[in-house]
Amino acid sequence: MNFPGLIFLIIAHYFSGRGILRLFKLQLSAIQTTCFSFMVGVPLVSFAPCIVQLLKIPITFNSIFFSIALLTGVCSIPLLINLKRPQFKKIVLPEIYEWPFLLACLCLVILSVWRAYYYPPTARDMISGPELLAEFAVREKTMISSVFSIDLHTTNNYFKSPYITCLQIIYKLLVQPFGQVWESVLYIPFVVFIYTMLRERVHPFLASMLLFFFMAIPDLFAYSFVMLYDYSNMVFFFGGFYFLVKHLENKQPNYFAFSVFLLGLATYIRVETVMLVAILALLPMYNFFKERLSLKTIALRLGLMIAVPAGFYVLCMYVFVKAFVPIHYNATDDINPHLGNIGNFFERINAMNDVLIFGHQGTVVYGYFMIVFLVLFVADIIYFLADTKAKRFNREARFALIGIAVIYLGLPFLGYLFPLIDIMNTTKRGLFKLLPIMLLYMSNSGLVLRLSDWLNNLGSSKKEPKATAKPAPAIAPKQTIKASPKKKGR
Amino acid sequence: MNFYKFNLLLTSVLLIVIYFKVPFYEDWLKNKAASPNNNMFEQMQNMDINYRKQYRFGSSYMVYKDMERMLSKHKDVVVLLPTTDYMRSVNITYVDMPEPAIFYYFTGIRSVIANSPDVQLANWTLLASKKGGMRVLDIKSKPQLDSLISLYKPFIK
Repeated sequence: MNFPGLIFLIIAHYFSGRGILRLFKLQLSAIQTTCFSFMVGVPLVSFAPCIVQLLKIPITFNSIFFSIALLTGVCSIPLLINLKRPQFKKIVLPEIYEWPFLLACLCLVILSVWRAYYYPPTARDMISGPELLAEFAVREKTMISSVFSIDLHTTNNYFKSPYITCLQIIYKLLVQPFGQVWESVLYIPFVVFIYTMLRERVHPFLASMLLFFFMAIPDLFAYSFVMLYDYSNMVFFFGGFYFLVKHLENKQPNYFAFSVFLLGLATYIRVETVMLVAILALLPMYNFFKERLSLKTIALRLGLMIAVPAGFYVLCMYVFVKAFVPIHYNATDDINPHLGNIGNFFERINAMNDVLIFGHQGTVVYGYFMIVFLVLFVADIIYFLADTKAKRFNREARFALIGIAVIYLGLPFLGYLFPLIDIMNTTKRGLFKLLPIMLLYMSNSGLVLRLSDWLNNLGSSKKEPKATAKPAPAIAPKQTIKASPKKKGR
Repeated sequence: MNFYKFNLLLTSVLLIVIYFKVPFYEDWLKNKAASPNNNMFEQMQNMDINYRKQYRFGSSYMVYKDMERMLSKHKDVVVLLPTTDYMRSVNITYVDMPEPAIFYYFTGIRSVIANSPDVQLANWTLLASKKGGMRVLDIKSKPQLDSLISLYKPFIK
């Protein structure tokens, strides 16, 4: 493995992502800023081979190296213009009782990183598509390689987004022959971000427990090192959803803009995501009307929410794929010719429920994660009904439930539109997008928050014997407010 | 460390133990996540790229590489590949036959299957015998090619 190459790429991912993040002026913690810098930097750097190919420059170590350096330099301009001395705050270590969960998570991270590095790409969709294209692009120094002269009638994977092809070209040239290590550059910041997100909402014990439960989802863990589009797509879709929820809470337009940008990146990775974004747009639309915003503002924001992912769709399908795949492709050929038969849509929902959510296959793929979510959700409903003080789902929990509904109905709808989207592969992996949203719900569940408050109070009373007079919060006061179901969603 | 933290520490250890005592997760841990077949420390002793490919793709990969070695001496090779179902029908269970795109990825050699549009270009094939053997055979005539196509075609789904 070429370590200097890897270090160069890690720096490139960070600074390109950090520069773009600066444009949005988000008020995130240092850890979350770092996580999103790396995550955003991954698809940004993937544009480098596309640019090189569009300029008809041979794909070599040097051309890719300099194009990445240039791209990083350009993306870092916002960072350089507004250069600030970094503030090194005191690092808060996790509590001692979090360590068993965090160590278990660390073991999973080490296994994932090792396997992403050690194993060659194996998924059939990759070695008959993006990985094949990347391998021969490196050998023949062009993305329009001899691959297009062979018999490709058994596959259409070469029509997929150039996201993985480009990252594979970069990592094969600069790091190791199997590429793939970029998966860990996305995976580690994502799980760290998930941890910080959970810590902001619930007691550290529950946060680390939920993180472990999330990371130990069998297929989600496997796809953190098995190269495919779905893990990356999930990361950016969830990022977009998370910042949309943030925007609906704090009303700051920069959060909305960043959310739309992340949803655009999710679309760049899997182009059909644009349909899910269109369905998701109903959530802000409802809220904008409720806030009595002007029609012009609503139209502008919703237009932006659709236009940016649509722009990424056009960039992917009509610029990159058109330029790099010398075979004609007409997406309309894949559309269901029997759209009038709406029964297909309901059949798909049934199949998804029977096979993936409640079936044995669902347990094999997602473990008991979805079942636990459903149990918690039903328990919350009962808790809500039984509570005479009429406790409701807080705002974030409600938004999470809407997000879950969008995916739950959106994926069968996609399958109804495009019959190539099957249950056992595409839908199975598409449902990954549900999992972090379910986790967001779990961290806002009335029962979990009550347990979190109980743990906080227990900790405070153990710390301060005179807690009845003046309670000392176990976590920052701001976080205690956020964690309380009484303060939210009224 | 006070009792509160100590109790939570014990609870977290206990929860992890219980978690991996649930039969499904125990099985996942033993056979997938921390499977002895994927022992990281053993793998560290074998860092050769080719070894790692063999390890991952198994005997099929070795067959592809043998074919590459044999056919690399010849020019304009197009191999007519049988399907995995055909291989199973002649009791060859240790090889999965790839589609042409995947065969090209492993070997850099062009190939077709019996229903490919360019099947008539095939000039080599992989022939399997019922005794479990395989050999690479050059196709010398059109009738020979046609008989091979009709042999392999019923096994294409």
